[in-house]
Formats: sequence, structure tokens, C-alpha cells
Amino acid sequence: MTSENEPLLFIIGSSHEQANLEERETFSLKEDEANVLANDLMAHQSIEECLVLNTCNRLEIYAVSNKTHSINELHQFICSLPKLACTSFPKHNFTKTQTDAIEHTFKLSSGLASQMIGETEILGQMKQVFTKAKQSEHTGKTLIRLFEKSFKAAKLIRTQTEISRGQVSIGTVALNLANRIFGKLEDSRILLVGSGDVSEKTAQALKTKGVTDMTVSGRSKDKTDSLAEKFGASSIHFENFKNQIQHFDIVITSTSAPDFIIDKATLKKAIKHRPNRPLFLIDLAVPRDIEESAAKLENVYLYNLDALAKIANENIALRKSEIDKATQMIKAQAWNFWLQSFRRSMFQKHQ
Amino acid sequence: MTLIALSEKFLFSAAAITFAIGFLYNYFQLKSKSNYSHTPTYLFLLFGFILQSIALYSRALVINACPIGNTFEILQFILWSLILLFLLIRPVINIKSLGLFIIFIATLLSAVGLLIPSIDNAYVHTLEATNSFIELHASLAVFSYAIYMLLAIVSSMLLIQQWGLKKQRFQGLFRHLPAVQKLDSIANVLVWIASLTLFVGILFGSFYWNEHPETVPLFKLVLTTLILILYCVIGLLKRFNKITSQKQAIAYIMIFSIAILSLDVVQTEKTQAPSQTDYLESPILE
Repeated sequence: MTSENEPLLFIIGSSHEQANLEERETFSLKEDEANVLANDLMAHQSIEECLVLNTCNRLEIYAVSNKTHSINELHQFICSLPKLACTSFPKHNFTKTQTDAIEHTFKLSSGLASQMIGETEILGQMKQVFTKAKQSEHTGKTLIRLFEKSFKAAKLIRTQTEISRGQVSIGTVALNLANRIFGKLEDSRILLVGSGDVSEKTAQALKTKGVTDMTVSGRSKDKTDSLAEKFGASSIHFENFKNQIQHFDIVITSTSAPDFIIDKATLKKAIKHRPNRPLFLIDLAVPRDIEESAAKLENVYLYNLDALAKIANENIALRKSEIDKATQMIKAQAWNFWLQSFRRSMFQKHQ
Repeated sequence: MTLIALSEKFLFSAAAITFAIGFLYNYFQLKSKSNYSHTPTYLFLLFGFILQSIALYSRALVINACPIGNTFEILQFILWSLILLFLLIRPVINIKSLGLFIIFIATLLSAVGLLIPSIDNAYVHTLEATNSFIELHASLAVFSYAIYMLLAIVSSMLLIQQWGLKKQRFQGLFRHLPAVQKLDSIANVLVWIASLTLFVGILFGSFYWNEHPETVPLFKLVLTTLILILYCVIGLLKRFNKITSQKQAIAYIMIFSIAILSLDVVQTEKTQAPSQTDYLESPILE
């Protein structure tokens, strides 16, 4: 059941399902780079609407084509764009069209396609990207309807199923891991490196878990001081934090630095000063902030986003019935949305 | 047939079967991934401990001394002391999964004792069973070995927890293990309690050996003292931050393995008779 008037809705993207953290790092774009990518896409004669969803776990291109080019040609074009050609994106990606694309968007907004199933952060990110795309006039009636409906579907799923029940945050995961290492998170000294949104959310989560000894370090002194003040933490200069690592039990990094900010040698030096106390490192950044080989050091426990997601999804079996229920609801919603779109296109054809 | 009429071998076997059932219960519970209560583990351990106590008491009546004359008896006595120690300190150290490890060790040692009959060989008492110093020495030495065994178990738990954290394993056994730091702290205390107990044991032994120098078990004494020194050295190195908790744990397990494996060598030296003694067919048990 297709219509000539019906535009081709497609998604070409890559996420934690197709690419591991190391591979995802290669196509982790900064905001201005994502804007350039969107502009490049809009320059293509076949693409009428587009939206680039760029988060730490995924890069997805939502677009509507006028069918002058086949999906394979569009796929080739996207993979050959300067921002993506030399990354892992061309090797590790997926393509979804029409109802599959609708279903994927609904799943994503509901948190079902997230690395930490049931999380709500993705909905906020989608709303933010959608607003920007609308402002840039990159979206048209198809993507606007798709995203607005997906936000409604997300609300429905979250109110009618218990998909988010038992959902664990980074703070909870950190607490559980810290419990396995130190016994009590409350007694641990924590250093947050980075002063962005992730650091703020992590600090909030830790604070609610009873952490009292927190220190913040970031490149922007103003943002660091403001974050420290907000959570009653102390702050240290970004240039000095590496020399202070040995004084902390848990180090959580979430900077946007393109390269490692903590290398193995720094940690080796730090751990020598504390042979009786383990060092727990949580790297929430993409690209990663801490050299991976540091995990091999004795008494050093390094966890990145992929590892944390694995733990967070441990209780997934308990929510399996809710996930199945949500998936069925999404299928129905997606099918309903597609039927409505089809009727509209048929109506336009006969007018 | 009354309980006392049962042979001690049967009681040792019954205790071993109890431990084995308890271990299998834990194994399947861990495999099922569901939350399970640790209470049945304690009950299995307690029941096995009672059976083992009666078995050891029966043997003590037969030989008219503390039953620590051959490798089998020493293993049983160390195991008995270990379970007693666990039952006593469990509320203090509050490590639920420790019972799981104890029941595994209990099953293993009981199986070794029953499957290798040669370690329950006959022996001749060369020392006065009534001498309080030598009896106290023997009891304390065996009890210290039980503490060292607990230390080896705690060290194993620490290594497993560390491995799980490194390899990011969180299911099954791993989710029941206590914090690395807690295990490390317990190990740091246990090594000194065990070493002090063994030292006091050797001290009491020396009072007897001073009066009866011909009875000094030289090889056994040298080996035991060496083991005590090794434990103390590792304990001190850790105390002064010279080794990490991982190296300490490996060292404790290795020293304990040497100590346990050398038991048979030491016991063989003093064993006289080549076959099963008739104390196993004691008239008291008929």
C-alpha cells in the first residue's frame, strides 16, 4: 500500500546497537558540525526535510525525500559526506524507511531504543533537536507530524506502561558499583571532571544518594564555580586536577575534550600513593576522557558508558513484560500514524 | 538403633551429605538468578556441624584424646572449628555470602576426607593425652588453622570480587559478594588473630616440650613457625602499604595451601601403624 504522492520518510543512522563506543567516537559530532551536516543534506536535490539527531550514543539522520533518488543512492550520498566518510559510520549503520522509520522514532522517544532502556533523557534531546531543526526551517509537515506524534506516543507509553519503573540512573549505577568497591558511597571522595549538563545531572544524582564530599574541576572556571556552589562542592583548577587524583576515591569525567584527558601514566602515579584504596573511574564522555588501557592497572576500576548501560539493563528481565507491552503499543501507534499519512496523501492526489 | 550406636564414619558421611545438599541448594539458587534467602545455608551448616560434633566426640571417646591424630581428623577438626567460628562471628562481620563459601569448603573437605581413606590412617599416641599444655597447644594450633582457612576464604572472595569488577560481571555469585574494601579490612584483622592464636598455641606447646625435649616434633615445629612468620611478614607488608590487597590475598591463599598440603607430610612422619586401627570398631559404639 504505497502512494506516488507519499514522500519517502527514511532514517539512516548508527547507535550503540550498530557500533561500540570506540566506533561511535569517530562520528561523535560537535553542535556546529551537526549543523554543517544538516546543511549539506538540505543541499541535496532529493531531500526536502531533514533533522540530525546527534547524542553521545547515536547519530541519526531523519529525512524526507521526493523520491527522485533511490534509498540506496541517498545512503551512498550520506555515507560519503565529508563529516562521515572517514568515520566508522559508513560501516556501522542502519536504514529504516516508512513504517519502520515511524516505529523507530516512536521507540526512541519512549526510551525503548535507548542504551539504558526506559530512560527519559532522549526525549528531551529529541525535543531540543526538533526545535532547532524547525527554527532552521529544515523540517516540513512530515517530520513535524512524525516528531509531534512521537512525543505523544512517548507520553502514552510512559503513562500506560511501567517501562521506566526500576530504571536506574548513572547515579544509581555509580552507587551500586561504589558499594561493591568501597562499601559506602557516602564516605567516598568524589571528583567530577567537566562542568556541563552530564556533570550537573551526575552531581544531582550523587547528592540525592547522600554524597557529601564532592569536588568539581572544569575548563570553564565560571561554570565550575557555579556548579560547585549549587551542590555544596569544592572546586579545583582544571590544570591541577591530575595531580590531585590520588586524593579521590571516585573520579567521574564528562568533558567534551576530543582526546584523553587522563592517561594511564597519570593513574599509575596516582595509584602508587594509595595502595590500600582502590580508584573507581567513571568515564561518561564520548569521545572518552580516560585512556582505556588504564583499566588494566591494579586497583583501578574503569567504567565507560557502555559498561554502565550494561549494568543499568541488568534488571531488564524484570521489566520484560512491560517492554513487550510498550512495543505492541508502539506498533499500533506507528501503524495508525502511517494510515493517517497515507489517507492524507490519497486525499491530496484526488483533489 | 540409637544415634550413639551409629559409627562415627556414618556421622561424618551424614555431615558431608548435609553440606553437599546445602552447597547444591546454593548452586541452583545462584543459577536461577532469583533473590534467595541465606537462612537455609545457615541451617544446613548448623545441622552438618551438629552431626560433625557428634562424630568427633565419638571418635574422641574411642581414642581417649582430642581427635587430631591424623590428616583426616585434623581436616575434620579444622572444618569443625571453621564452622563454629563462622556461626559465632557471622552477626559481627555481616557477610551473608560467606556461608556460601564455607559450605563449599565444607563439602570439598568432607569429600576429600571420605574419598581418600588413606588419610584416615591409624596412629599411635606418643604423648600424654592428659597433659593440659599439649592438648591446649593442639587445640589452639588447629583453631588458628581454621582462622587461616577463613582468611583464605575471605581472600578468595576478594579476588573474585576484584575479578568481577574488572571483567564487569554482575550476575550470579558476583551480586552477593561484599565490598572489596570490607573484605580487605576483614583479612587485615583475621591474619593477626590467627597468627596470635598460633603463636600462643606454640607457646603452650613449648612449656610441654621444655619438660619433654625428646617429644619435640622438629619438622612440624619448623614448618608451622615458618608459616606463622610468612603470614606475619605479609601482614606487616600490607600494614605498611608495601603490597596491594590483591597480592596480599594471593599470598594468603598460597601460604594456606602450603600449610594444608604439608599436613599429610607432617602426619605421615608420626604415623606408625600401616592399617586401619581397631578404634573404628570401638565397643563403646556398639
